Amino acid sequence: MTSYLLRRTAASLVLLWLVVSLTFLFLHLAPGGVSGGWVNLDQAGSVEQRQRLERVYGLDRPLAEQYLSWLGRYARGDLGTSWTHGRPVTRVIAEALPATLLLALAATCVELGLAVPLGIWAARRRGSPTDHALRGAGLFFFSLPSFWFGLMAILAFGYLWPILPLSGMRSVDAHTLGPVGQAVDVGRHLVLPALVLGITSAGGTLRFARNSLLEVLEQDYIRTARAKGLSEARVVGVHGLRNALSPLIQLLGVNLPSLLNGALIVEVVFSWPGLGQVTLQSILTRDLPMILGTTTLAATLVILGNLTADLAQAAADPRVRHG
Amino acid sequence: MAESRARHRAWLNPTLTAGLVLVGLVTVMALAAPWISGADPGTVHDPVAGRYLPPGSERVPLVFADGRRLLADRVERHGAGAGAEVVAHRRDRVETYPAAALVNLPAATDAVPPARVFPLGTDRFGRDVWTRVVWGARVSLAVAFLAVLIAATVGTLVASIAALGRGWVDLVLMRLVDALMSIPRLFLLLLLVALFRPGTTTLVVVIGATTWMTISRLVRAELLSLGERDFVLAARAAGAHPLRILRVHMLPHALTTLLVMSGLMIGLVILLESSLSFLGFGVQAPTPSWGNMISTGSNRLLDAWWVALFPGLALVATVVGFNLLTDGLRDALDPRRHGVDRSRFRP
Repeated sequence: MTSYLLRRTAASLVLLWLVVSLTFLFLHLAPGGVSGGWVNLDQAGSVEQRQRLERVYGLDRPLAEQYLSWLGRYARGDLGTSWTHGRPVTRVIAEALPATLLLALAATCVELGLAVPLGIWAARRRGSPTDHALRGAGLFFFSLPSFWFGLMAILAFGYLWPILPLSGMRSVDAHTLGPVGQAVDVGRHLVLPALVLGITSAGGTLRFARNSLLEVLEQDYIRTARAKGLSEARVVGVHGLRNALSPLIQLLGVNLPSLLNGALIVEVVFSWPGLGQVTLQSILTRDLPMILGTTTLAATLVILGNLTADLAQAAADPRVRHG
Repeated sequence: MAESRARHRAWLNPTLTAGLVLVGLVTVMALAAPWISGADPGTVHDPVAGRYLPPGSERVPLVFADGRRLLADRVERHGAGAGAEVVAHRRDRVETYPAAALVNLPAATDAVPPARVFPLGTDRFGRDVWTRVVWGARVSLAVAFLAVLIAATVGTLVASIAALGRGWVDLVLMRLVDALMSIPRLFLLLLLVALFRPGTTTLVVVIGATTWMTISRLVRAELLSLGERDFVLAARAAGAHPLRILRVHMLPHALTTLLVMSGLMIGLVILLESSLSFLGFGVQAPTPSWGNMISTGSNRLLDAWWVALFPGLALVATVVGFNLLTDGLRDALDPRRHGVDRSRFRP
């Protein structure tokens, strides 16, 4: 177990190093260099501004030196200072991250709550009309663009059935409410974005859950369990599900990038004040340190997520840690 | 004969058929855009009275010699010959124009221009939504095909280098693929788009540059397993050049994987393109794409829902079509696999 843990952690560190190096590379591949195209507010000031920028960011130093200091700063958790906020990038991100994590968590609950039971249902009735209908629904929701689905949800709930807030995370008068009232307020704002993100993610997961369970149900030990006269519920629920769990844990890790992608879009549609909003704003204002910071952070989250999923899987499945 | 019919049936499963129909419809729409709908998706029919007309609206288009266009609710014609005048009722205004100034009005006859129906309504500039949806198919499909072409080319190239080089080359390239894949795709796309100038060309290149990794991984796995097969070993023993082995003995066998994979990517890439265009970093304003049309519609969602609804329906139908097509194709190529394991992509 220890050697597996060490190996996986080392591999993750290598990945992190590569990602940070890639962002450095992208930056210097941009036409006109780092500061070209970025500072062109007015012609007269631009030369002086560019020089100041290059001094501040050490862009006049040799490339190797810049690269090492880039790595060093990242290792110390320093992502630079935001140009528009005038504050450390990490601080701005830290303020936006909880909202994104809350949305992602709620959406994952919706996703699993829909996909796993429906996946089991489809697998149990393989080849039946139910199975076909569920597979079709899975493909449909998998193909659904989350931004459009979100807009249609806003249309439906804003027009036909106005019971939920349509955008933002808190009501204007939220500060007058007590702590419980505030939590309920955030919860009400969370419903639509979490449903939209969860449902669009559930399409693929449903199919994955169905297929994983089907693969397990074809194994010999399931035949054995049936042969010794166990009830079907016990065969599927205990022997089948437990073994289909391992791919599902891994799926949650693999799922993380698409969850963050989806969260970015859904946050923009519902004005949810999270990482996606910050990223989009920083691109609109051409805030380079912020853009690089959010990208690096998103990649770090993904790598850590995959590492956690692998370790959880190793803990759950002895074949992984000894294989 | 019976056998060939059985093969035929196995090939054309319902999923594949549905996919072929949907993809076929969209392709026809894209190719025949000028004949299906108006010739120019940018036509502003009336910047004032033509804004946000609901679906099914009927208006009389007036086209002036100087290129100006107006929409009238009702048109009457008074007089004949050189002094003829046209009275146009536009919302609550009544305007009179000399008939000679209009180009869509035959001067010699008493005819008034026939009314035109806007089946899906108009957007905020008074442009026909139906025309733009049809032309949007062109943009979406063109971007998707070109981007997937780039992704397939780069992916195969990197996979070939990795499979031929093995050892260190393989290790380094695959770590690089891992690193690129651990940056969530939309973040990577936005970063690249921000560093370059947004536009359709940038979009194609950038989407291609961020989707080749999946293809590369799968093709490499295929090439490595082919490398162990007897016919490749025989070719190697016979002293064939590694590049020749790759070209003649390995790549043709990896073609099926590559094609199915590319087909699967098209659905994803269309979603990526529309997401980026929706965010404002993809296809830029005057060119119609489903994503930027939905973005325009999102500003006035509650009172002009048709501007965002219809491009979205076209988008969903297209992506569902491509996903059904690849699903059905996989089932047809491998009957044992009944919808088993599709790689999970979402933009």
